[in-house]
Amino acid sequence: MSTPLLEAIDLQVHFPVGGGGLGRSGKVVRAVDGVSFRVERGKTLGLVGESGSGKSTIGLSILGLERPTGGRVLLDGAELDFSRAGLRELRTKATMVFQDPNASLNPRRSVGASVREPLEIHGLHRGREARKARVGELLDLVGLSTRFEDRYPHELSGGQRQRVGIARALACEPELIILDEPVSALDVSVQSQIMNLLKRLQAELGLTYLFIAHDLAVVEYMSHEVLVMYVGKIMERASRDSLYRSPRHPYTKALLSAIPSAEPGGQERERMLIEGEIPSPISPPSGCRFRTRCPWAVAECAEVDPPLAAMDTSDAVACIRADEIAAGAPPNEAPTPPPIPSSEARDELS
Amino acid sequence: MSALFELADFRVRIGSRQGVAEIVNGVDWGVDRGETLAIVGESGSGKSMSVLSATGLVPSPPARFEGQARFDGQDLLTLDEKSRRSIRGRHIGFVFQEPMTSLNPLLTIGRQMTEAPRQHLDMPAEEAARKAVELLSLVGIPEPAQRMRAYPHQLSGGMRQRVMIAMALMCDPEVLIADEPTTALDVTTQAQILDLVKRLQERFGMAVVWITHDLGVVADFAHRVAVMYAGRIVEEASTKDLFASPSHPYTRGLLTARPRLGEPDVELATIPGVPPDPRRLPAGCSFWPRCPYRGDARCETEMPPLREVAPGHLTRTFYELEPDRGDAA
Repeated sequence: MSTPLLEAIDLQVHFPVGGGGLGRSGKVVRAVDGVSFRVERGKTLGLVGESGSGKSTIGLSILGLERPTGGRVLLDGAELDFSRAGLRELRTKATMVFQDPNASLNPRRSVGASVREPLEIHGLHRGREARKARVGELLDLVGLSTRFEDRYPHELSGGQRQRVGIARALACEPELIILDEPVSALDVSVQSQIMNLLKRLQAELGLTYLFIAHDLAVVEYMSHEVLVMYVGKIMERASRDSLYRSPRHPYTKALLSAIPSAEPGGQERERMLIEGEIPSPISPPSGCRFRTRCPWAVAECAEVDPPLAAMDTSDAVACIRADEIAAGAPPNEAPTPPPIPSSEARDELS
Repeated sequence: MSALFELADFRVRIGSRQGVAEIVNGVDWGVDRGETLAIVGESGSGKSMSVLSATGLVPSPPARFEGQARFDGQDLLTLDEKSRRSIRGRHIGFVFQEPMTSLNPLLTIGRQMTEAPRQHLDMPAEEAARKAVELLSLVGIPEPAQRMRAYPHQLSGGMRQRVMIAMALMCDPEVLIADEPTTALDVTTQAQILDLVKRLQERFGMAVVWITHDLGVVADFAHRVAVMYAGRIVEEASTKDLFASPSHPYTRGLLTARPRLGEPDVELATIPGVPPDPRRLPAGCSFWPRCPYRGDARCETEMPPLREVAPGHLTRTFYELEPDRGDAA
């Protein structure tokens, strides 16, 4: 097996909180709590989960923007070096595209200056002419012409700004791009332009993507393999097709079932509405973190922290009842929605 | 026809130094008790502005309104602000996208919930408080009596949105206006809120106007859908007809630009370009510069009228599109 471009082994990112800082309260946010995965060259690993699942923190920690507090990250087989020089080198190999292109572009810099900046920082394409040519090439690559070079972010649409963000990320010819919700702030008609652009760039330049998003349909469209995260841990890892066709973890099932069907009548499919909310990563439930909302939870789930199968099998699920559920074990009593009083009762209300 | 809440040739313009922005350009729709109308459009389509202006939530000046916005036969635009506020307070409930910015961070949930019925219905404080607790419990807030004393920051996003919904129901509104109420929420929470509003409507029979950018959200929830582009309705139909035979090129574009679950290998259609600047709308059809079907000479000079392609199915295009919807690319 060839070396994966990116490999995380038992990655942990914990933050101390409260008590006047420096973790005196002893409380710790376990944003990422022992996560292992690999991304093969030229492929896209989708990272999906709701807010607080730790998916963005994983992206940040791979670039050294958050320091891992445990575990290892290997890029191209070499452990990440968080020294000054190491980070500098890292950021020519791995770059990031953020959700909100408004917040990630400097409003006082023209498009040309923004795209040129990484070249200047890393001393690439030295010389005025060479840099200008490279900036033109990058703008062309993302579907913007050199006409845009002198414009400022406020003169651009959201989609155009995101294209500038992508051009910046491509400037140093990275191998890995971390895409953190790159289309979720965009209108539907613009989302598809950006997704198709990202796919084309991957095919042309052989890029490897870590694609972080909360939208399962978007992740399905973009990814080869998918990790489902919940409160800092991986619940399920599977190839795209097997995850979407036969989700095995109850949380994956719940997520897929929560998506509004794209068509009327689609709701006739099996619907599973989970109750409650995501627990705090400061004090996650004992055992399996999803057990407090899981329709299949049993007493044992509170005691056993279910492991994810070894790295070498392609699909893995962190659930002690996965086999039973796959074999058709019924969920516990279906959650009953809170009763809504009759209209007579309502008259009494008012 | 005369619906409970309806707009007739409704227009909104906002003047600025850069010119006059034509935000809403002649919109007609109506919604009745027990019915859900979804208004779908991208940013800048005028979807929120049309509804918020009609209910008097957009200050004028700078905005200028034309046409009619009728509630129960009464034109809200001709009323003075005091009467309009009273109609709004008693008969129309609102739920917005960001519960954190629409709730007052300095007042307890209880205080905020009881304000409207005390002001608009002269409800005694104790009765209002009792009703607030019952509604909080109805929308699924655990320990509602204790929550009355909580401040907004002490609740999660999903809980705050439930509080907003309960608050909107305090005066037993006939109309509930929901402006992207689930956009800021996680998908499992969104599913809970959609389910909640659906059940509340089935029970209470309000008219619901649901404003959203996401056609998928309304698919099995709304009765009718109006798709807006550049301040106009470009297509309106029952939800079933709209999805089964979208007949405007823009609606088709929207439907084929979204990845569909389970069909990841179908290449997404793209709608080239961006929506027009409302200060410089193109002559003719506003969608013409981005339209994959353009070719009819009238597109450039004439705004296509909203015409009926099937009973109750309106579209604003000169073209008769084939029933297949995959050809918009």
